Amino acid sequence: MLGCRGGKCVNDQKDASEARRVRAGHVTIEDLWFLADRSMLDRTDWMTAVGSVRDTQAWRDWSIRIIYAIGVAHVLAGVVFFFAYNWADLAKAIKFGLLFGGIAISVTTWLFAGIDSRPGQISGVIATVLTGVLMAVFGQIYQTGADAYELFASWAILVLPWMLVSRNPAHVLVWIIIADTAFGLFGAQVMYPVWGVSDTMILVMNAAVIGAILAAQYWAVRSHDFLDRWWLQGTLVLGVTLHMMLAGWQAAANYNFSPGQSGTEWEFFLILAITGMILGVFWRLAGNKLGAIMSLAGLVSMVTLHGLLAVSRSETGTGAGLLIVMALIVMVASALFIYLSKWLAADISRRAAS
Amino acid sequence: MMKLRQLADLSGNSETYIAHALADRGQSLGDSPVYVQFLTAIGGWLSASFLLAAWGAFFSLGSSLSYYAIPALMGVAAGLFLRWKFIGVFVRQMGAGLLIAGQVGTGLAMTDWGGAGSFTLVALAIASITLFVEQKGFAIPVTFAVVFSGFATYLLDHDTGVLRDGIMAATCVFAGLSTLMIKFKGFRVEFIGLMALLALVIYAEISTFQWSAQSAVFQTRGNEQPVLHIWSGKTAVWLGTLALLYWSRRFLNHAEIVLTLIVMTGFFLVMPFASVAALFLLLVGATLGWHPAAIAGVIAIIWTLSRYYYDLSFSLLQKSMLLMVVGAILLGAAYLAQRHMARESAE
Repeated sequence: MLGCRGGKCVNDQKDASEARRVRAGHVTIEDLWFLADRSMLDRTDWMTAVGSVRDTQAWRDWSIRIIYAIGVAHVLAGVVFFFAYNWADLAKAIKFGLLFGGIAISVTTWLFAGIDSRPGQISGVIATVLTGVLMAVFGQIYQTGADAYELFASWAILVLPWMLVSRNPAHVLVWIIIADTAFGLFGAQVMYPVWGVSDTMILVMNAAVIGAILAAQYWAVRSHDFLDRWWLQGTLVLGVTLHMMLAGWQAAANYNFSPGQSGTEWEFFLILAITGMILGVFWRLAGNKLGAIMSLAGLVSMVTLHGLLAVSRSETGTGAGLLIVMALIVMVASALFIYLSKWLAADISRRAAS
Repeated sequence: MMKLRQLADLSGNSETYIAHALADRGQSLGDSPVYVQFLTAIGGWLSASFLLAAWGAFFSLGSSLSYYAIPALMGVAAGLFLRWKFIGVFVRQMGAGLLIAGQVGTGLAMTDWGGAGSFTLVALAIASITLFVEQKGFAIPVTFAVVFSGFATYLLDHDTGVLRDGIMAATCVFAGLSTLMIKFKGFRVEFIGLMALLALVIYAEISTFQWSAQSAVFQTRGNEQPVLHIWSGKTAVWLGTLALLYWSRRFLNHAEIVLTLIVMTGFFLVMPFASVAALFLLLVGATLGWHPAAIAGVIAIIWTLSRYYYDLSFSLLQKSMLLMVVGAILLGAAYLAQRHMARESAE
């Protein structure tokens, strides 16, 4: 099930892992603060206790790695500053040469270090990012007149093969962000001004695109273990629900402030609310707490915002009275959300356990 | 199990007792998902702002901004009461919203009446009351963040002499170290320390830019005063590092102390004030073994490095050379430390 595995959901797994951690003797400074609050540690022993729980070897290794990383960051920043200083005076060939060189070095490192190795995978992501930078510089030098969505769309198409062979979930997420940005920009630069599609509809379509990617990920995870990452799935679930939530807010704002325009009818508002409800029920049946609760939040916030905007437009009552009514609306909505989210979370945990 | 045994010896309790207490901590952390609490908190904060705005609307007859001190202070009182009496997330967050919004409202009224200085004093009084009412909640660090912001605004707005940055840095370093290196029984004050060190980084960044912009606009490069301001701030942080190392001498070995001193002194000599403050945050996190502070320090270093691009005190070429030299020295220091530690563990 999405979000749950082996009959346990994320929160249950967290409790169990917490108990395992303590049993294994992995005590942290947060535990010390907790024990001191319970008066189980004396103030005079504080720094001795800090020294005893601090994992000396792990922090030594961490510190050295961090000094290396900060050193590399400073050298790289120095190189970037140096080119920034000379950038305007550099010949076109040198500008392109630097970027092509960066891509060539990244791809070579990727190939030689191994496609599944950590340095190889990092190099792969760098090559993907540098490709976009190269295209942006090309557009800057030759003033191609291309829209921003064309840059992102071409970038996504060009680096698609690298993403497919990378076997790296971070690389997949970077590609999804590029592709979704292309879609969002296409909506803003073509669909809205040229085709007259409403901004709410564009957000719903964007949610559908991310939903399709999520479905593909869910299908592909059966044969590709590397895609089985909670953060990849969580980001996609959040992408779908947040876009739907934004669409709901946009619909509420349009309904109240731009009546008569396309996509601002109350039927549209209702269809959006029903779609959000269906989405919430789907996540509930799929055992995904995050998706179900975020869909619920979207629905409640959409209706609440509609209520607040409708009240604020009414010309009756004093300023203070209006604000008190608005506070009451938010309080009722919050109480409803708290009650329903608790019920949803408990229900999903119970279904997962059975 | 070694750590549990050491803790048992220190506290005079059995290992099993401590393990059970810590397992309880795990249970209490897992009440409901973070995002549910976050969304509920938004509801609480929104309700609080509407209520406070409604309350303020009753007082809108006054011609001066200072009149708003009355509803704002009543908001603070209501917020403290709700956080004191109730345990539900929504009501506690509404209390936090009233408390913080009330404090900011009081700040605006006080600024109108007596400037940022009087606001800082009132905010400090409210924060102290919050500390005693709340003892462990998150409203404490947030109210202290308001205090640090007020104090920083006061210092940045007033010509308080060459020790200006030194005063702010010393205050933050003192607040940070005293709340992190000493345990105050019954109070969770460590987040005040984290807040103080974050405030130091942000202040240092703003101060650096204020001076670099001034030297560029008025072409006063070489003017001693901005230089002295920055150095007084950096000196306070450097002295704070010495205090940190002295406090932690029981569990740091000589190599770690020397490496820390070399890196900090290098930053102190050539890097901007904000980078020195960010490094200090990282050192505090690594010394305590507290991941949130250490990671915040790493992010702060990267942030200050990216902001350095816009610093007008030096040309891009000079900054480029400086960064490459500092980077090379850091890489060399890390390599030597790694070799030394490998040799030490082999022996």
